[in-house]
Amino acid sequence: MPLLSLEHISSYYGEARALADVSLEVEDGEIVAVIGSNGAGKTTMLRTISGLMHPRSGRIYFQGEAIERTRPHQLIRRGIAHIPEGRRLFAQMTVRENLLMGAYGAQSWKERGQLIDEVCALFPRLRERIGQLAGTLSGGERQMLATARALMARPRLLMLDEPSLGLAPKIVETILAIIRDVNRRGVAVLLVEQNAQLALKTAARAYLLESGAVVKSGLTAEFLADESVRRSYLGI
Amino acid sequence: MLTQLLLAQIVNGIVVGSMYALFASGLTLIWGTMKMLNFAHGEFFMLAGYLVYFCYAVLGINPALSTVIAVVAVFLLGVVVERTVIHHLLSRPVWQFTTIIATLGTSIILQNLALHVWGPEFQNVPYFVEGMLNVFGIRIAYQRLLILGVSCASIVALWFFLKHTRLGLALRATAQDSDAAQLYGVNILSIYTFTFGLSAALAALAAAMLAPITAVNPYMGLSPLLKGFVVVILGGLGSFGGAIVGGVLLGVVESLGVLFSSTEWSDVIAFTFLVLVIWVRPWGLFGVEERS
Repeated sequence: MPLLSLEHISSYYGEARALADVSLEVEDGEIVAVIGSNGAGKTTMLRTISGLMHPRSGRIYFQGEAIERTRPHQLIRRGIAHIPEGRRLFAQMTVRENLLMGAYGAQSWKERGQLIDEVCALFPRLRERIGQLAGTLSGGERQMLATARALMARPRLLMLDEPSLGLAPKIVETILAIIRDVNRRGVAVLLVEQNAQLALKTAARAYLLESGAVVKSGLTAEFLADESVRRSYLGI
Repeated sequence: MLTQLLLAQIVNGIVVGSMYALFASGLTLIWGTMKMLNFAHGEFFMLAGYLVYFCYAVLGINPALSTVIAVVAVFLLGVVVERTVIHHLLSRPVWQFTTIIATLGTSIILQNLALHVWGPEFQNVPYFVEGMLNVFGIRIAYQRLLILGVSCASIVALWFFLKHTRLGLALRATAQDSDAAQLYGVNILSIYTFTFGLSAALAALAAAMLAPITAVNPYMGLSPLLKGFVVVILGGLGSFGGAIVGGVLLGVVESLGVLFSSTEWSDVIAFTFLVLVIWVRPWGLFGVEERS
């Protein structure tokens, strides 16, 4: 049984269809990339999984249970952590308070002190900034905080929406290294990226979205070998 | 003599202003978290005034307990109003307008209900504490000092709640980014209900403290509502600190203003002050300038 599976999902903004019959699976402990150009439906897909939008048709299963009608605040307790596009930190709160929000879900709240120590060990920079407002952080620090906040919830599945957006390559490397590290500890990752090269380098399997539909899926090695993918998405 | 008069008016302004602050922080909490205006805020104030009148002036229950009864009852009423009148509108299109009409409607219903049941007469509520304090030749009624003490204590308590409790954290998170708050486990619909109740309770506390000074009647919520809007716009919509400073500032400006004109002009002074401030700072004194 896959950890997460989408079966024939269609999502709409009003009358505009953003996802068309999308099926996708994430196995326990793997990294899956979703690539595609701007407006292909990548963000909509993550929003639909995490319950910020409900699909018009199709089913979503997480650990075998249907979740397509579940509200977002319940999904974090079940183990889905979603780092939304643009990070969406609580800008007027301190780094510490942002981290605490990650542990807001009932199980991890009791261990919040210990969890903060754990994520600060992963991102030592955050400990230096612990009392600072999130809005005053640099781009790289923001992505670190967003990732750390998600890890505070002890997720089974971590979903990232464009983690590389607006960041210097070196910082992107740091963050991807941490994501791989987290993954090695058993957290499955669903990575949505416009930067296909980066995503394909990180993941084992990938899906390609075009106009809201899955047009290709398979091992990342196949993607990297595919002539049309190379031309359209890797610029080679 | 003049400095004493001036000083006395400033003290009075701070006392009244601290009540504006309490009342307005309720409005600003609702605006901050739910992004809506509550036109029934004044009626929560009015109903709390009647509750204190009946508990304290009619039944002779002690003033502290009467205040607690009024605050708790109005908190619950706020929860009921949110659940029945507001809740289902928030997830529908054009809720920005429907919630205005819904709260305006609630306001009219509650006001007329009060008029029908209790009549238009002014009901006097005796002071909670008698006597005057004499300092530097200024005489201040103990009731006014009590008002100041209660409002300071409740503002500190509210600040502590928002800053240092789990629920307060969730409330601020919802105010800043409701989507992100939901993703991290906050049931924002429950937060909305709680916020509405809390806001009503703040109006109730202000009413309980002011009842002995202003007398109780069905229309007593109107003027605070207008002043409350002035205060939250003055301080910056959604800013808690702004509501506090804006409230005290408005109180002082008003009471100094009446030194140079008559009491009927206090609203004119308040609104002129508002217009001048937002002319210079459209986002209010403590609000954040919006950039497109």
